[in-house]
Amino acid sequence: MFQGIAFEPAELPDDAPALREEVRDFLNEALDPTFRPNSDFNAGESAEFSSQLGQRGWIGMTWPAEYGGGERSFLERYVVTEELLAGGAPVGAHWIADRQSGPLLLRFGTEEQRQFFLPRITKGECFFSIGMSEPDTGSDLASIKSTAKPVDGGWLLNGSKIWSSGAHMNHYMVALVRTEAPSENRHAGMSQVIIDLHDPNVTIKGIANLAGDRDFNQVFFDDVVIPHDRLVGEPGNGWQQVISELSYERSGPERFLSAFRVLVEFVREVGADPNDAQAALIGKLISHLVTLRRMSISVAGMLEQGQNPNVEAALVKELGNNFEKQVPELVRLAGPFLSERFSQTLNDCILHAPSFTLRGGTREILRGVIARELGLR
Amino acid sequence: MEEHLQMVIDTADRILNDHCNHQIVDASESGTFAAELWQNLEQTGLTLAGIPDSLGGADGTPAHSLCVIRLCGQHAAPVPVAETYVAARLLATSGVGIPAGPITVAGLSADQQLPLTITNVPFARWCTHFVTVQADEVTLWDLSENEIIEHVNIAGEPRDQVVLNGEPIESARIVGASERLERIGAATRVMLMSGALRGILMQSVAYAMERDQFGRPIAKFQAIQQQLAQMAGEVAASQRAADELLLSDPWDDIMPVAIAKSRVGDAVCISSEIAHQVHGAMGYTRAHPLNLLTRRLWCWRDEYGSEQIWQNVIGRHYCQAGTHAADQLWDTLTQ
Repeated sequence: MFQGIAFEPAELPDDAPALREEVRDFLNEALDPTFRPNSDFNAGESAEFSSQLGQRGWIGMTWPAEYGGGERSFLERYVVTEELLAGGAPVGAHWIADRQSGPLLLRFGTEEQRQFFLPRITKGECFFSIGMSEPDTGSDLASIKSTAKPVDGGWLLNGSKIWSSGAHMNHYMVALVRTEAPSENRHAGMSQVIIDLHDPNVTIKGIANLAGDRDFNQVFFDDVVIPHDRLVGEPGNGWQQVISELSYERSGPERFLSAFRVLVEFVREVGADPNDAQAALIGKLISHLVTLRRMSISVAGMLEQGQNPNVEAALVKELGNNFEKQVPELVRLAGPFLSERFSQTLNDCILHAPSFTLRGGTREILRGVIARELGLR
Repeated sequence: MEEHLQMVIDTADRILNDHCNHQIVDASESGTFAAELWQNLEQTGLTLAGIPDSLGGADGTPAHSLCVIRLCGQHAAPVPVAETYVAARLLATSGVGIPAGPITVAGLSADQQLPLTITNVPFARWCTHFVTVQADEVTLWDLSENEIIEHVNIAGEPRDQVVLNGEPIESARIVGASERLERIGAATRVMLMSGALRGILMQSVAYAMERDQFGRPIAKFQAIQQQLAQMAGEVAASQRAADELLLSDPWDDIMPVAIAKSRVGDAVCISSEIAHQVHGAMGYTRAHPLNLLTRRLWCWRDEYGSEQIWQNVIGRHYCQAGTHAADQLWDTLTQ
């Protein structure tokens, strides 16, 4: 399209169907038959489930074998992640470590950090939270105030992070913090550090979301000592490192499958003989979903080729989130459907939908990224 | 990309840049055929790019023709390249020789009989021949021997009425000819739209950067950036949906066409809305080239089945398993 924006069609590998079957068989075994699937990756976490996935080699799939990885392709990883999401598996515990903390360490971490963390992550025993937003910092990430000051043996961290999903259950957080005073270059002087969430000087307070779920946290740092070897990459290079995580964070199937269960239950309600409006709505939603999948697979193909498809990832998230939000709103008008199963799925989606266009970068920030690529800013 | 395909695209792009501009499209809307454009496309084999050599074509795959058609869409080219490809494909498959010159095509309902009055025939007044498809029967007609009553669509494209009263040149049968026509015809509209969507995005971005208001280009305003970014998403999705038709031949496969026509059609509404909003009153004038593409988009989205019609096809396909459809949905989507 424009130079720099391209979704070259990518083919899933030949072993994709077999891999898909393997994941499905595993889910049938691993999940309680009464388990109610929810397609949102943020909706359930189970350390036991993550450990089982780790045993199967489905965490850190693309990483080198020396760190416990599977040395498989991003396209194979794509297949596994979309199967887990579509199956509604409780993947929340390891999701962030697998998706971005691990790749971050692979790219910027020291050998020692890789050897310590990556095998634990791939076993499904070591879970990470994201530490980016702060109470006064949301979209304007460069305005963070949490500061780590150099002291003997490392850094002394004070401040707090917010919206850190699962921090109350996870082991570590990769946090973006100031390691130098703010200067004219507002993207300078930040670093990424690994925080042990069990440190006595770390306090974690839960925040209920509007659905009543306890997933969010505010995490307080009160003179937390960060050893030198827990700083990731170069001191002061945090901003560039964070930006490089974004194509992992924004392009995956979790960006368009959050409402998938609503579509499934809609199809169940209408049965074999939908009316024309219902059939057309199913067709419309499927045509968008199929296209999003193809775009997301294109991005996985680009990651596999070692490219950094940041803009394409932003486009997948922008389109995918809009789709996820449209699904419950359009489907509810195609009814009424009165079954409890349908109502629960729909209502659950409606309650979580406001977060779809916020988490991982708001719609407005994503559109800013895209606009920059178009040459507008 | 394959070398031959890239060569076809480069040649088409060059010819369209040289022989298709605002004046030529305008003139076509006032009744003047873009003869030079057509001749250049025909002489270089681009009008039959996707037809095998042995059947009188330029020896490419369907993807070659679809890529040429996409570029024609981007340039609002007022020549029946899409129709000629569809007609030639039907003729080639049925074993009827492909005549030289522009050919148009239309489907007939099963019960129509001579004399046949057919409406909405694209570009008939400028075509030498006409292919009709009735159930499995493909028939070639000489248009110079039949009456043509001129009509246009809201884009000023000829959508004429043809009255067929004489003897056809030749007839032959293809299994499922009328379904194939619908699919391949819809595929051409997908490509035309995907090209035109790309065109209006480029125009809108360029305009936003050159138009100054409040002392700076309007591109610098977030309100404009946000809209254009949204449009870029719609256009990118359209390109990807259309690309799928280069991989699987719409002649045989219904679902990729149905999905593409639905997705691209949905993109037209929001993209043309944003393009016009960004262009302001200037883009609402006849003198500005934006409308050459947006008016065509508003026509092409309805031809060979609106998005709603194809969405219905998709929906029924995915529901046909009845009580199992819901539990099989993911499996079906990933096959």
